[in-house]
Amino acid sequence: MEMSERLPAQLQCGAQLADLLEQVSTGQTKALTPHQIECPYCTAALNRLVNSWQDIERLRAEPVQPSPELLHRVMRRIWAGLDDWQVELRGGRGMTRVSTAVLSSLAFWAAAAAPGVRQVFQAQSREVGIEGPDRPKKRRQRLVSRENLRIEIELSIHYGFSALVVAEQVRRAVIAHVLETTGLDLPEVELTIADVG
Amino acid sequence: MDPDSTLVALARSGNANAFEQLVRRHQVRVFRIALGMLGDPRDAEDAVQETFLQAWRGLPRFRSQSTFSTWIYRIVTNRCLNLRRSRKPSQTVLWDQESGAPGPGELNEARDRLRVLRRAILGLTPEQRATFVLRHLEGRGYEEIVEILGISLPAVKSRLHRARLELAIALSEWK
Repeated sequence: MEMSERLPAQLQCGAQLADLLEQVSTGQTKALTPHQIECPYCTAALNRLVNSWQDIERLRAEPVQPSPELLHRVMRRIWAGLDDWQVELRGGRGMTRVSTAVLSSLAFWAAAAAPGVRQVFQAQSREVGIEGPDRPKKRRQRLVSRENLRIEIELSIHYGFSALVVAEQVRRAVIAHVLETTGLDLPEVELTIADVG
Repeated sequence: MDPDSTLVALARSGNANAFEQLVRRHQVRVFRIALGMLGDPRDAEDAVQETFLQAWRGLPRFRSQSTFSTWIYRIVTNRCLNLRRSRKPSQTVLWDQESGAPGPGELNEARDRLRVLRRAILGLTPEQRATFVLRHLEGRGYEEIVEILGISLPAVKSRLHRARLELAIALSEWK
């Protein structure tokens, strides 16, 4: 690359470099003013700015990839911080447990499919009685008894639907879906209707 | 509606697999912003990692006032701005030191020009650089940049104007 003189903020003809640059960066290089057509300073500056801008376009098009380990590093730390709470299911020979994360997902999809529901913001399984600061911080496996299990769902409903009717339909759908999939009869489903639209 | 809303809601419900999908979807763009802001791929990866962990922890408070992508861009931009402000000027940056095997003259020249451009971008103030990277390297719209940076539209335009001018003057000395 060879060096040439830096462009001044104001060209000898009085034109502002910033104005020419605005023209180049917005792709208006064909729409020249009568002055620009005649003026050698503007023409030269525009040519150089177009070249510079092409470099920016090239840089933008350059493929950029983080290392493949990045995703694993992020997820490893997330998994390490998760509690693994499980509920014991009634069954035949041997013990069957289901993670409360599975129950949350089942509740989420059942609620999302219920009539009148616009969007589910979250669905969480909780053990009643140990929330807030008493909740264990470290990842640990523990059994939650069915009696202490509570599903909490936050959602928005479509305008024009009765909140009470939608809530009851969601509650029934969640209980039925969890029962059908896991055999677990949920004692409590708590709903918050956070929005309507 | 935000195309990520279902995954966000599942992730907010504690579903780590859903969050993993969100990371997969957004990691390249988030990394590109961090790289443009910081210049060093290792620093950029660290910033991206901390960004997603902060997002995971902050999901219960995220109420979809903006899209997930805007929210995550805001987190990574703020993180990089804080890092850049606290970094000593003498610390080296690697983004402009990438070198490949020697090639034909034309290729070398193109590579040199990009190196000069990268160095010029890293010479902008952190605030100008954030605005420039979001607009011209990431292609975000003005309104979204307003949301990401939490400044007014005239402030975005003014920063962008100054950044482009600085770059044009710096780059114009190369034929």
